[in-house]
Amino acid sequence: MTTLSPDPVSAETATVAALDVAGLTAGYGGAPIVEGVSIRAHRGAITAIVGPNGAGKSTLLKAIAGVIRSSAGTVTVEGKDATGLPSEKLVRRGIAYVPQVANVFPQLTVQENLEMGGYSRRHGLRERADELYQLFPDLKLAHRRHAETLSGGQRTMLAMARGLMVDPAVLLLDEPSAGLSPKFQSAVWERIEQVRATNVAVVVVEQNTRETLRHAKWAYVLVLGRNRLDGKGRDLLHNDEVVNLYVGVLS
Amino acid sequence: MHEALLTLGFGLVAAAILSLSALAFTLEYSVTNVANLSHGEILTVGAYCAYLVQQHGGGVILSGLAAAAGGGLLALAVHNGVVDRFVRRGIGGLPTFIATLGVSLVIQNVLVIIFGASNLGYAVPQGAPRTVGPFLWTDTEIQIMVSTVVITVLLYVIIVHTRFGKSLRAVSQNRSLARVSGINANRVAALTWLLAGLIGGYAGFILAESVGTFSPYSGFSFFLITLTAAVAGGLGRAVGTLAGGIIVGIALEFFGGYVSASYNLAFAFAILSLVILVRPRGLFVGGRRSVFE
Repeated sequence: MTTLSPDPVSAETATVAALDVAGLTAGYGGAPIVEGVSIRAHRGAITAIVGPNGAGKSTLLKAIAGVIRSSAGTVTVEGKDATGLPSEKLVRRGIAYVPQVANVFPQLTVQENLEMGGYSRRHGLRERADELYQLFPDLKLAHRRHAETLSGGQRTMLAMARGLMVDPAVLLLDEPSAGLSPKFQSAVWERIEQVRATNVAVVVVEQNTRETLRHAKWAYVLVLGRNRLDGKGRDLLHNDEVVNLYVGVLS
Repeated sequence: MHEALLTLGFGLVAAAILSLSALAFTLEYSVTNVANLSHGEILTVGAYCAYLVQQHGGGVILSGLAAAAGGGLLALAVHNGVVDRFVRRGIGGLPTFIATLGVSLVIQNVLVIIFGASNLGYAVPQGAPRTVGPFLWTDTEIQIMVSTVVITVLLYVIIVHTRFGKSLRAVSQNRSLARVSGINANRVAALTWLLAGLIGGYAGFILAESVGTFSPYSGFSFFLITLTAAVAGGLGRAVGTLAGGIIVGIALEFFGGYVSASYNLAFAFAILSLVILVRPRGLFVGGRRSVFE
């Protein structure tokens, strides 16, 4: 792996990473899809994972979130080992995962979706929902509607809000702007920046690499399931190798 | 006209029993995506539990509670011992379906060993028929319908308004998302099967009360009709299943009254085939995508 910029830890003056993934190997039972991947994410920063199709970006997120099992490597959340925990326990450790598709409960209302997002909270459910309604005013207006009746953009907002109900340390977003119109894409990025500002470590997997690298404080490039290089988002934006990987996307 | 209303009255009793059985079946299906072929045995075991209580002098209420408890425990055991082991490994519908058929055969034959294969009946009499408006119902039949309404309303409140009910719906709509939301999906599924078993066991008791006799095979024959009602209503959907139970229950009674009661099962399967051909997602699902696709 090549590192183009100074290590983010020294830049952050030695704070414990919210998420520290080391040497993670995972797949769907056959040959591993991601192999020995390491990433770190800090609170209050957007960390991007980019790479060509089939690089294993979504698989990596699923493995971190405990949706699929990893066969090697460790996951540390806020300094505590969380390797191999099932997803319903990881969420209690502060990992919130928003899948790319099927990321809301279609026949629950918006309000019920948020309640389910906060299922592991012992108290403060209503207060947290109110906070999120302030962040996502569209949802407030639609709070009694079934999620399946929402527009694509609203559904993405609901999916993020559902994940945020636990007040997570780390928010894992799998292609949040996929399939949305450019107008909604920028609205989604605006919300992601707002979430980041609330001291959450946001980890974003995206196909729209240029936009993602602009927002990312630190970015990892995965190729064929392995770390290829990493660095500051803006540095990678002008890196020849990254540009070559995405001919037609960045140019 | 009068005769038709009488038949409708008997149809409502049949509809009540069928609705409870179908609701229980659809609950089992909703959280595990498995059509439980041993559902009928939950009813059968319920009927036998009530029988044992009556043998020891228990009344109707105690018999009903025993039936529910027996059905609940059996459903929980089938879920935790068989179904959940497949679901956890991500093994799909068909192998699990066949495993539950195995469970069904085992339970039927264990009951034959313990109680024999012949028909048994309850000692508590049905009571004389009495006129209620245009209908003619015995005390037992009134008990069956009133208790069904109470159970259905309770179930509705549980599913719609309680935290458990919401988590049940969340698991049925998207198990993986439910888990990343912090819901212990296996536990919710186990509790749902327990709830379904309580209802199914009680349904077995009122079925035996209504028919008058029962055997180790009664639940399985009734399961075939239950399947018709649940599929007609839309598998995994409580409200549709309830409607399916009522419609199929009444239709069967009319068929039995005006054509031939001996061909009830054939008629039920004719309905099932027709529904699968014309409205494979159920009568009330419309154009909307099913939850399970």
